[in-house]
Amino acid sequence: MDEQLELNASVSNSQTLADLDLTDLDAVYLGQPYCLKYRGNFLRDPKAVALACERAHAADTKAYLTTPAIPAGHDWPLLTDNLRQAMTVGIDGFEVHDVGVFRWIRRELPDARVHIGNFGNVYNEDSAAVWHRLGATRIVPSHELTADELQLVTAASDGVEYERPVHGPLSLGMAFSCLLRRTDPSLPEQPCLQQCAEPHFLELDGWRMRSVGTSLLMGEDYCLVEHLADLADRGLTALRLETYFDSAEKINQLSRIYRRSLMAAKVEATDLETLRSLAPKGLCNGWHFGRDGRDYVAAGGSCVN
Amino acid sequence: MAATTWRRVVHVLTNGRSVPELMSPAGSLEAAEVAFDAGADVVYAGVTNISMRPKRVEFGGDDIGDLIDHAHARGKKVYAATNVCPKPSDVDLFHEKIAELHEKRVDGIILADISMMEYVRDHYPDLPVHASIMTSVVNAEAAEFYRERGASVVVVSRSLEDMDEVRRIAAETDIDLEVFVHGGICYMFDGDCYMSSYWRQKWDYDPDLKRHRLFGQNNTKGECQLICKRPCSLQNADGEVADGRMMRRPDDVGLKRLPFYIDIGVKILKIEGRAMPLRYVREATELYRRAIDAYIDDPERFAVLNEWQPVVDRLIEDRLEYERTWDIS
Repeated sequence: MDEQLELNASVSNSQTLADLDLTDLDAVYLGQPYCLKYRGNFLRDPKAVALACERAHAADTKAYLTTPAIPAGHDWPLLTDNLRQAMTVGIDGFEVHDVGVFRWIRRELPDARVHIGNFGNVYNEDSAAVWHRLGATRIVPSHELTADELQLVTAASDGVEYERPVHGPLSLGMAFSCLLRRTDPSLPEQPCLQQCAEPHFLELDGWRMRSVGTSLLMGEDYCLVEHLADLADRGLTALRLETYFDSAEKINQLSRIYRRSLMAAKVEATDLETLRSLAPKGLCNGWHFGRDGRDYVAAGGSCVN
Repeated sequence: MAATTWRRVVHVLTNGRSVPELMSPAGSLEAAEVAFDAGADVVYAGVTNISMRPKRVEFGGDDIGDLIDHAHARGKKVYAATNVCPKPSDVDLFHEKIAELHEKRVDGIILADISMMEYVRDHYPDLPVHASIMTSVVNAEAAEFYRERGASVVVVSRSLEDMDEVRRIAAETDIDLEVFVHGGICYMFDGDCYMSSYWRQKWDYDPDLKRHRLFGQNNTKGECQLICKRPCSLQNADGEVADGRMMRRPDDVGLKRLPFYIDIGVKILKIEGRAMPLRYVREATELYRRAIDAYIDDPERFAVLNEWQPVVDRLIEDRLEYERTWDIS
């Protein structure tokens, strides 16, 4: 099982990467797609991307670069410069959420490997086939798909890789502006005060989402560690730890646990407890089972809301 | 810019300005009639189970054909909203609906899923495709991407508040643009919101589909739970930072932007609100018809008139009432 699936993690900046143990990771996604102003975001720093590539490759780990989820025209010079420079330093692929970025890469950097991220909204097999035909090498089918629906998508087209997140708070959308900044209009426009580094939660009638300013994330940590054996039969190539806002220490713990669980095809009770302790608002995985996204379905099928 | 098979179709006045279509919502045949009477050139209408609004304001069975016939008899047009992203189990249904719409001579089909766009392009090349608001187009490359998939119109993201960006898309693309000019507006970029199913979804029987399906997903069923309109509390480790309807955005009122849109050649100006009451459809359509005509007739003297404000206020109040009494069914 371990041999067949790539385990990767999202790393937003070089500060986090510096303390990351890459031993258990097959790949890292560099950069944070929600906000270019996020501190040290690889998406604003081509030199940091070059160093990160060098570090990852030295550890026999692939390095992908993500791209902004909502790249307006004024972002284009910075974005395209970063993409071009990343190609020259051997980036292993780009994760794309916006169709315009996809089109630009396919035209300007035709040798690049391109992954279609979650905001690509691939919900069916026909869409996956179109992306494959257009040159995408990997697809992240919509996180909202159930396990069975996911399998219908992955089964339909050969030759393209499929990725599924297995841990971390997934994005619930891209906001029109930074909610944290808007709570205090007196805050200066520049520089950003990085309020998103500190956990903020929006609470609604007893349930919650985490605000990171320009995106809302699940309040809980999405977690499929109890279902890895089942995932192995769903046509996947890669499993993702969504860890944009996590410390290197937490990512290290997650990658060790997931690597261990993949090799054993099961999770030890102590590791599950560790994952729970690392998720102050609990775990969830309801989407995978066609339940409320906030629900958590355990190995035996019992559900905890 | 790549060569294109599509050419912009615009009506050009002697003053050089193109006349955009005013498109109003039709949640029923009656609403379409009201919209046409009030000055709409086009209505958009949802097809049951595959548009972004509740079933009660979608058109099922022969209703969409009746609407199209009625509109054509009046010299008006209908664009069919089929803008959810189909799940694997819905792909065949989509193909059937598209065939029906083509047979009924719908004037355009609004789509979000790229495979469905290409399906129409390849099977029904005479059926104009509009890339839905759900595609959240924020740059010219994206607009061109959808043109290559067969779209003749793209809807510019209504969350793109910088008009220079809209101007840039218009200048750098060879595809017609649609913009929202009035109505409710989401906290999230359209198509990039998954809050509803995170909060609640369930398997249940769908009598229209005659099978069980998941109810509660926005992107795949248009079953928005209006999460962003709800009161909430923002908290950090120190406690509450703020509270209220922090995600709710004021209604979009685009009267002041009309000259800009018309000057850059926007083809379609859209009023949002298929689930809104008939009075809303009538008053919003009349208001924007009057404003568009005023600018076309005399652009130098155009101004947003004070006498329009009471109408705007009523439309905003209608929206709040709609949110207070929200019914997803």
